[in-house]
Amino acid sequence: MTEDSKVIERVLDGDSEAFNLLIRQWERPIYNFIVRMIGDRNEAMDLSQDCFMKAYRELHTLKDHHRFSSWLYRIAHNACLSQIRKNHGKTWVELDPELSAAESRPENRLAVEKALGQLPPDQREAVILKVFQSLKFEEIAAIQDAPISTVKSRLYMGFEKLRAILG
Amino acid sequence: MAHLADKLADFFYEELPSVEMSEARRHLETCKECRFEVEQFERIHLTLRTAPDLDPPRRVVFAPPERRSWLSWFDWRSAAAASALAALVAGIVIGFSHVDYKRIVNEVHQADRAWLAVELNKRDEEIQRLRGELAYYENFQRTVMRETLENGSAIQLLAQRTISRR
Repeated sequence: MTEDSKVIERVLDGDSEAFNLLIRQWERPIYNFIVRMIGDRNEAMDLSQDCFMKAYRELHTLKDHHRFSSWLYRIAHNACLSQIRKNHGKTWVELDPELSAAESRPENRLAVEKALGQLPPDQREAVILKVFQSLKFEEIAAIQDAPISTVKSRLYMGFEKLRAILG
Repeated sequence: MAHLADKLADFFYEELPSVEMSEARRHLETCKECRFEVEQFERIHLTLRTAPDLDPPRRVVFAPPERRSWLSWFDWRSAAAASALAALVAGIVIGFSHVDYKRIVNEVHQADRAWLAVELNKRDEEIQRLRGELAYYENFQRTVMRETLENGSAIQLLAQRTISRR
């Protein structure tokens, strides 16, 4: 049994406080996934908060506790798509380099984030989940509710565009 | 083995079965074309990775819903009403018997006081918790202001560099 699934058992048995352990484990990856998807740090923080609240409310519907992370990413995926639809037309640029991040040159960070923002959401998501979140193709397929072959195509197409943009 | 083609990503992220991984490695030793494709793929992957993860600006706040005890179903008004009702019942009963109504009323008052003390204690704890949260958010606000200043400096620096490059 994975650590996550043990904690989920505790939460479902009535130990609601244990849900904080899942939050501590996943808040950073989920926040970073969302911020790269929508490009706004504040909105990303609010969406992360909403995702965890939704996950808590719907935890009893999760059938396979070993797939908690994929399920959580799926919640975040839906939140991002809904936000992207809401922000349709808004310029996607993260003008907020994290200067404290060691060895990160702000201009690189900006270039990467701007380039990601130019991809269609499904390709951007495939790239983010693979490159930054290091998920397996199978997991990404579950999150995107698409065949593995489609996920790979999105990744290849995304990489092609990024190659053209980033040089 | 044929060219890596659509197995390139599986190879790069090591998601091919071990036998196919070995075959692909052997193939790459001799195939310049595939080696070039893998290098290109790796270059994009590494370029993207130059943008590291961010720290969330604050923690996700989660307060589990409290389980309500039977006492919490009553507010102080209903508790007072219950006391009055108990006193009334006691008074009626006294009309028919020799029960010590003063003792009953005192007991009801004592129960009320105990209940109020518990409620006040809960409120004190809540105030303490909110003070803690307030301190956390004040600290967070200071961090954001500091980061904003730092970001401003970085933008200025970038602008200067851009101008000097021109």
